[in-house]
Amino acid sequence: MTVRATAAALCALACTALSNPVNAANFEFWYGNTGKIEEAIQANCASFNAAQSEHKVTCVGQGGYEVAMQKAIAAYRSKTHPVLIQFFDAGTLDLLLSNAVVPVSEVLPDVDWNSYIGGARSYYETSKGALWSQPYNASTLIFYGNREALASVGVSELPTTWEGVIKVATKLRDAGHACPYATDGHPWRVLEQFAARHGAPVATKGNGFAGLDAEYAFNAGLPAKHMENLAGWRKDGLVRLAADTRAGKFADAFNAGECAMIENSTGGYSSHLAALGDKLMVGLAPMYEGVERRNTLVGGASIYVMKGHGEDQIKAARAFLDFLRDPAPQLEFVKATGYVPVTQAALDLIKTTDRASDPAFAVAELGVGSMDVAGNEYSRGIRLGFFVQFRDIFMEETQKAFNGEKPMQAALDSAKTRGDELLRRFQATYAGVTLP
Amino acid sequence: MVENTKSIDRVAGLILALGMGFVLLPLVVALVTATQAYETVLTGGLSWLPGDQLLVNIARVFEETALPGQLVNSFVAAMLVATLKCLFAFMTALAIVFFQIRWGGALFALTLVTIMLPLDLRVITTYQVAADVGMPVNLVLDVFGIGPLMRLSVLDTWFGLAAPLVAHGTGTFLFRQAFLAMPRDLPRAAVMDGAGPVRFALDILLPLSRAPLIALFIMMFLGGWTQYLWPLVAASRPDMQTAVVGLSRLANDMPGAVPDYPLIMAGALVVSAIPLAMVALLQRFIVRGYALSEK
Amino acid sequence: MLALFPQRWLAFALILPQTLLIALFFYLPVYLAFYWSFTLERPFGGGSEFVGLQNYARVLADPEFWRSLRLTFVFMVIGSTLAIVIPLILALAADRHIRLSQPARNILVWPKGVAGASIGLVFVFIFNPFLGLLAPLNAVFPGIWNPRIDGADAFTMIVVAHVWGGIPFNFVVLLSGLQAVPQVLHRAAALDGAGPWRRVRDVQLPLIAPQLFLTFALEFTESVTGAFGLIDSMTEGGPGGSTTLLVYKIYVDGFRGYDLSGAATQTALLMIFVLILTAFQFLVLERRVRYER
Repeated sequence: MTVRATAAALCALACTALSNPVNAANFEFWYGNTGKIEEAIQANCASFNAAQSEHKVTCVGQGGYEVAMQKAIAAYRSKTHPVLIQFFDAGTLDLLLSNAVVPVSEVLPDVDWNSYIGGARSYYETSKGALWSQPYNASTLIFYGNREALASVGVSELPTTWEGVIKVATKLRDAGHACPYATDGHPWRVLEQFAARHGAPVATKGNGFAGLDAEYAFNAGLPAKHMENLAGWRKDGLVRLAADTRAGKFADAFNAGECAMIENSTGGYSSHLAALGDKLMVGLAPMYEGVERRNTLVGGASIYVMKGHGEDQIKAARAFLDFLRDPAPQLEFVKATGYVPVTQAALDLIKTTDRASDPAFAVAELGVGSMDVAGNEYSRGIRLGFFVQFRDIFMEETQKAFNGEKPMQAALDSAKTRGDELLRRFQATYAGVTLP
Repeated sequence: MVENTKSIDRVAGLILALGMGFVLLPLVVALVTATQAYETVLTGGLSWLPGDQLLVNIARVFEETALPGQLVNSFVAAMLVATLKCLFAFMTALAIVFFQIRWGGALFALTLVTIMLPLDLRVITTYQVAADVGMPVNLVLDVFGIGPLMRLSVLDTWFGLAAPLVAHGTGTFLFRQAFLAMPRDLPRAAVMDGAGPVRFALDILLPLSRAPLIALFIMMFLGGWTQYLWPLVAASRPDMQTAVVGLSRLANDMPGAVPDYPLIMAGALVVSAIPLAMVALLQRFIVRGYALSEK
Repeated sequence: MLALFPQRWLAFALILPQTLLIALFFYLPVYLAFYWSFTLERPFGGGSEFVGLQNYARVLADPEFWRSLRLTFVFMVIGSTLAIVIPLILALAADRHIRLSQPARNILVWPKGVAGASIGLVFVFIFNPFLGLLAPLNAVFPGIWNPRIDGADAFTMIVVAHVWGGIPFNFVVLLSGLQAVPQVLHRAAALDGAGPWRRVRDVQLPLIAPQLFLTFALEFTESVTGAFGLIDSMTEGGPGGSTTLLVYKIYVDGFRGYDLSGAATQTALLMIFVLILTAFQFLVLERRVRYER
C-alpha cells in the first residue's frame, strides 16, 4: 500500500509543479459565473478559438464572482495571474485603485467606446472619460409579474409605481394570496438600483465618483423611506422576504408561482421564462409617484486587462475583446443567458431582424431602455471601496430590522456607520492615491 | 454489574436507544428522502415512507452534477493526506527518537505547537502562501535585490488540497510515543546485529508500529475526506473541488422552486458512503485512533 | 532519546519533508498573520504600510468583533457542554452490560464518517420551516419556528448539528475511561450502600476526570473552528449575523471583503485567544483534576 501511495504522492507533487506554465500563443481568461451562464461563456470562448487560429483562449471558471476576485488577488500577488479577468460591479473601485489593471480604453485606443450604451459605460468610466473595463455580461433590474395571479384579482397590467404595486398587492392579499410581492432584500435590488433610478444618493460625492472621502447617505430620504416601507408592508402581509417563502429563495418562489411579483435582474429572465412561459410579464422597475425616473445601473460583470503581461499576450487579449464586442457573439450570449446587449450595434441587430419577436430577446430592449434614461450624478454607478463587504453589512443590519431586533431606521444608521468605517479604512489603505 | 437492577438497565437501554435514534435520524431522513420523487417532497415535505426513486436520484447525482469527478478529488486528497502524514511523521519520529541529533527536542516542540492552532484558524494567510509557495525564497531574494526565482501556486491542485493538512504534528507525536513505549533492548540488539538505520526502520520498527500506523492512516483519511474550510478556499474550480464542498455548493446554487432535496440527500449519501462504510467496518481502528490521541 | 544512529545527513533527510511543510504551511502563515496585523495591506499588493497597533485598535473598537467573539464563546460553552454531557450519559449507559450496548458502540461512532457540511444540509432539511419535522408546529402556530429569520432558531440548529458531530470522539474516550474503572470499586461502593446514582457521582466521574478534562480541552478548541462547515452550509452566518462566529467572520472579511489586514488581525487575536484557553486548561484545570484523584 505504502509504496504505491507514495509513488502516487510523488507523482502528484511533480505533476502539479508542471501544471502552471504560461504558453505564449495561449492566454487565459478567468470568470466567476456558474451554470447556464458558464456554458454561454464557454460557447463564446469556443467560437473565438474556432474563428481564428492565431490565438487560443483558455477560459477558466473560478466558481463565483467573489472567489474569482480573491483568486485574482492572490494570483496577482504571486504574479501568476491571467491577462483577462471578469470582475463584478461591486469590485469596481477596488480594481481601479489596485494598480493591477490597465484601462481598456488605453489597451484599445482605436475602439469607439461611445458605441456602448451610456448606462453600461458610466459604471466603469472615470470622471475623465477613460473606460476601465469592457462590459460583458450586463444586466439591470426589471420588474416581473405572474399574469395568472394578477388576472385573478382583475389586474391585467404590471404596475409601474410603488403605489400601484401596493394596490395590487393589497388586492392579492385580500384574495388570500400568500405572497403578493417577494424580495431577498439584497442591496443591489432594494438599495443600489432603487436609489439610482430615483436619483437619490447611496453615498455623497456622487456615490464616490468625486473622491475617496465619500460617506454613505442612504439612511435618509427616499431610500430609507423605501426600506421602512418594505418592513411595514411585510408586517401587513403585502411583501414577503425570501426566508418567509416555502422555496426559501425569492426568484424560486416566483418561478413556483408562490409569489406574484418580484424585482430581479434581467439575468433571471431565461429561468423565469422557462418556468412560467406566457404567464410571465415584464416591465420597468417601479417608481414612487412624483419622482422623475433616472437610469438603472448596469449589473453583472465586465472584463479587465491585467498588468504584467508581454505584448503577444496583450495582442491576443485585444483580439478576444474585439471578438466579444461584435454583435453576433453578443447576441449568441444574450440569447442563452438573458443578459442585455451592451452596444448600440448589437441592439440594432436585434431590432432589424426577426429576433424582435423572439421571446428570448424580449428583455433586451426593456433592459437597455431602463439603462438608457437620462441620469444624474447618483445614477452613474457605485464607486465605493470595500463595497462587497458593505453589501454583507447592509444585508445583516436590515435582516435585524426585518426580524424585529431593531427598528429599520436604527438598522440603516448602523449600516451607515459600519459602512463609513469601511470607507475610511479604504481611504487609509490607498493613502496618497488619487481617484482616476 | 453489582446488583441486578432491571429498572436501571431499562433506563440505560432507553438512553442508548434515544442516542442511536439521534445519530441515525439525519441519516435515515437522508436515505428516505433520497428514495422519493421531487414532487413528493414538494407537496408532502419530510416523509418517513420510502419511495422508489433511490436509484433514479443516485443516477442523477452521477449524470447531472460534478460530484463524480469531485469524489475522485476527495479520494486522492484524502489518500495524499493520509499517506504523506504517515510517511513524514514516521520519518520525523524515527529521526527524533533513534538518531543523535542535538536539536531533536526543540524540533519536537516546534512540531507540537501545530496541534494547538488548527488550519481553519490561519486559513487567510495559509491561502496566500499556497498561492505563492515560493514566497519564502522570493522574500530572501528580494533582500538581495534579485528578482523572484519561483512563481508557483498550488491552489486548485491535489497537492495544494493536501499539503497544509499534512503540516501538523499529531502523527509525529503518536509515533514518538509508540517508539518510546517499545522495549529499549530491541533497537540495541538490532544495532548489535549490525542492522543499519534503514533496515532497522523497515524490518523492525515498521512491523512493530503497525497498529498506530493503520489507526493514524484511517483517521487522517477520514479527516482529509471530511475537511471543509481548506478545500473550500484551496480549490475554487468546480473540477478541482472536493465532494464535500461540491455538495454544499450544489445545495446553495441549485435553481428550483424548492431545493431539490431528494437529489441533495442522494448526493449526501454518495459523498458520505466511503467514509461512513470505513467507520462502520473499521470501528476498532477508530476507537484505537481515539485512544492514541488521548495519550 | 535513544540516539542510536550517528548519521547526521540521514537524520536531516528524515526530518526534512515534514519540517519543510510545517515551516511553509504553519509557521509562515502564522508569521504573516501577525505581520499583516501591523500593516495596512492593499489587496493587490504594491502598498503595505506599517500602521502599528491601529488595526488592533480598529478591531477591538468594532462592536461586530465583540459580538462574534461573544457568539463564539456562547457556542463554545453551550455547544461543548452538550457535546460532552450527552455522550457522557450515553457512555454511562453503554458501560452497563445490556443488549443495546454493542450496537450502540458501533452506531454512535458513525458521525465521524460524515462531514459537518454534509450533515448540515440534512439538518437544514429537517429544520425546514415548511417541509421539515417542525412544519406541523408552524402550521398550528405560524412563524414559531423559522431559522431563516429567527437568530435563536438558527443558532439552536447549529448547536444540534455540532453535538451530533461531537458524539463519536467524546463517547469513545469517555467510555474507555469508564471501562477502566475497576469493578472492585463498584462492589465496594455498593457494599457501603451507595446506590447507582451515587456511584456515578462518587466513583465513576472522579475516576474519569482525566478523560473529561481531555474531552473538554479538545472540544473547546474544536468548537472555535469546527462550526465553520455547519455555518457555511446551514446559515451563512445569518440571519442578521446571529450565527457569525469569529471563524466565519474572518473568512467573510478575508475572502469576500478582501480586508487582508482586518482578517489577519482577527486571526492573530483568535490565535492568542485559543492559546490562552489551552494554557488555562493545562495550568488550572489539569492541576485540579490531579488533586481530585
